[in-house]
Amino acid sequence: MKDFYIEKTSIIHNLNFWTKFICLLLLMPISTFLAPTKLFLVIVAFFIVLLLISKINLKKFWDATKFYNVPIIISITLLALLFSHNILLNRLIEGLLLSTRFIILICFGVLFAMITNPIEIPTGMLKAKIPHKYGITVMIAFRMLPLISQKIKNIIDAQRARGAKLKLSIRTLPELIPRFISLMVPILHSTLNISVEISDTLISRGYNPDSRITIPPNKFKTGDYALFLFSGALLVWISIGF
Amino acid sequence: MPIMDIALELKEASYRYPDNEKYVLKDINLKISRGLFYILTGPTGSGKTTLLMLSRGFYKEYGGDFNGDIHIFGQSIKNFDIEELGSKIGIIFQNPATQLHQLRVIDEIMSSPIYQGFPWNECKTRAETIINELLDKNFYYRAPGELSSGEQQKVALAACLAMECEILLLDEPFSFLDAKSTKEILNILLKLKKEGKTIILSTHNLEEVSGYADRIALINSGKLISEGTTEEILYSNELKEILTSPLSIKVAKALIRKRKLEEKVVNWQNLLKKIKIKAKNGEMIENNTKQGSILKFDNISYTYPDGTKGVENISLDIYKGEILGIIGINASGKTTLAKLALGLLKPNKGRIYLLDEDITKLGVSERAKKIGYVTQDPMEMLFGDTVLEECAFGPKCLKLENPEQLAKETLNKLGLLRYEKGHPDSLSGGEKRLLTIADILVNNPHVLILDEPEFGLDPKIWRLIVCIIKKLKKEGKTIILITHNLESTIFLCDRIAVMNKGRILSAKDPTRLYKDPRFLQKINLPSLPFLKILKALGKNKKPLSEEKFIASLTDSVEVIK
Repeated sequence: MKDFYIEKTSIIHNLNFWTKFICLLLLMPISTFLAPTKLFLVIVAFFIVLLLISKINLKKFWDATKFYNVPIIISITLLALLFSHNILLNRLIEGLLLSTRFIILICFGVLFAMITNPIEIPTGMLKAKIPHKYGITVMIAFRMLPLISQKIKNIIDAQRARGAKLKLSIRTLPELIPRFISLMVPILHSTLNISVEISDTLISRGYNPDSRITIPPNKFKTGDYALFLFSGALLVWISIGF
Repeated sequence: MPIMDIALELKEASYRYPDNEKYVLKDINLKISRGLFYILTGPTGSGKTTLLMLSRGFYKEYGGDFNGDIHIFGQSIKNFDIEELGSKIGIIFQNPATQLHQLRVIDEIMSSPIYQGFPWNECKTRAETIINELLDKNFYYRAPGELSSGEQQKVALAACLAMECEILLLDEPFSFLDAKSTKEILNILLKLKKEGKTIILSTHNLEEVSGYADRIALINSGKLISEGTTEEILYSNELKEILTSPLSIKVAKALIRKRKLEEKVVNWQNLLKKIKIKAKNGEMIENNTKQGSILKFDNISYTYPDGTKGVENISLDIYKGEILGIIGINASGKTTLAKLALGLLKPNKGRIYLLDEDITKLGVSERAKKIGYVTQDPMEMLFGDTVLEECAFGPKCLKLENPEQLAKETLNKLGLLRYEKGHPDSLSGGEKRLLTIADILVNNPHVLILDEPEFGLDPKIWRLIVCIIKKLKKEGKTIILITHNLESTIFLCDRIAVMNKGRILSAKDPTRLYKDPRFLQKINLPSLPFLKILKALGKNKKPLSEEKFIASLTDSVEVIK
């Protein structure tokens, strides 16, 4: 998620974490499974408006989603062409429409990741009065992951530089298994070290999982209410439609 | 002295870690007055870190056996919770990266008051004030990963100050920093001292801090060996025996012995004010004559997948049998260049030649026979169950004949054969470093790349590593030394390549390089004070060893001001 986030100053970026998260949870199933075609087109238009407001570079967005979107269009359309019982044109439309629904699902997810700074997740948990130890744990996980992955990379590089071949193939598998096991020693050692050091930092900052800490204010702005209203309206539309 | 004037007092303090029979600290009695810049020094593993952790109350978290007492401004730390102590005494650790647990600078600095339950607005105001004072407004929303080690250490310091503590403990805070960042942090600490804070810093590099320190305590094997003013400790025999004196003090002592210096000085700056040097005298050596190129980078460029420039248009010849130092501030491209030589990274442009053979497309394992690499952190390399198994790993991977025999020969050469059946973890810090060198040497490579080998080593162990490096050079090995220890490069390296922003700005003899302070300033490297002496001693010549440098200098000093 950290790799997806794009720092921008936009109304969408500034929305409350819970607004973004709840609307994502509502919009994803509605657009993919529940919305009739007309409503689905409204959701597509709404998604495009959101993307434009977010000021995210369209090429960057395309680059982040193309690896999922292109195979989805090809495979679902092909499946519809091969196995649907309609005339050819309808099969094609059916395939394209279904693949667009999945694409929109992915696009909402990617947009959420691009406009949500990872810090908003633990902070959001704190704001929602979820016990702070869970929020802090999530934050530390976000912080530790890049440190550990860098350390693992260094350890693998160190072994490769000593002549160890770590490329996976059927031929090298018997040789690789003990080598990977031996890699676990410095990796575990480093991971433990990092977690002890981060935990020492927490203690030195005066953190106690059982004490009360200051909770950041949870504010909702006009944009948050507008998005909630729109998502609510969609739900009502679907309920009436059904 | 009134109780409130004593910031920290250790009374018969002893400590033993849980499940450990040996006491790491034994009956320490120490009084540190308010407002001092106090240095704790001693060899690696002497108990400096434990003393600081104990003073911050960490024994309450770790458990273990704590006897005696520690008082902060007259109150026993036993009366406070570990969280409460945070508002009185703050601690900064060695590794800047793991001291930041939040995802943005502002959140990191706000975290302490938040954890102490202060109102939200006060937490914010405190953080903003400290950022504006110590850092810059641009830092507010930056992620720890975007910061250099020096910046991370400043953020850790700022986060500590947000607790408004009176005493600051710093555990080897400069280990990961380049000289420029070290200087910046030292200046911040000096400012804090002037504001009345008590600074207690542990280090084994006295040369860089002696000018700032009011008093020094020397610790060895968990015992307080001596305590006194900076001058008293720097000139003590205990320091000389346990840790070795800084070079400036060795020179001053030699001058005092020859009656060319009357007063004791504490660093190069002081010394330079007291002496005048007669030019061009003494025993110095000329530059090495260059032999043929062994490793050649031809217009190499590399950009990381995230778009960060690693190195750009690097062309560099490394000559057979030389020691080439590579220096530069953090993230200047030094390690990237090493990884390109090893094949761990593939250049976007350019070619790499080893003994005139193009190795650009050669795999990592093929290159491992010819180029060896010792990482900065020994723990990244060590994983074997025994020292022998560890050392034989490379020859086994490279399918060399009789790997165990090769490993034994190499271990013997580096004095480690007596530990062959022991676990690598049972070795001391210096021995682990030696073992990593043995791990590489056993493959008999043409070129040996050492990435910051001085990291975490005290001066005494570093001298041992320097001897090994010199011995390897005598045997005809070519060595590339990536380092932050500029002083050592003078005595050790035949040439020094200076890297900045992924480029090589210069590759020449150390004395020729260092005598241009404006160039060094431009690339954020410090101009070493004792280079002024070298410059006066001889043109384009470099000293063979510390001893010869001292002898040559004492002969050349003419006037005592």
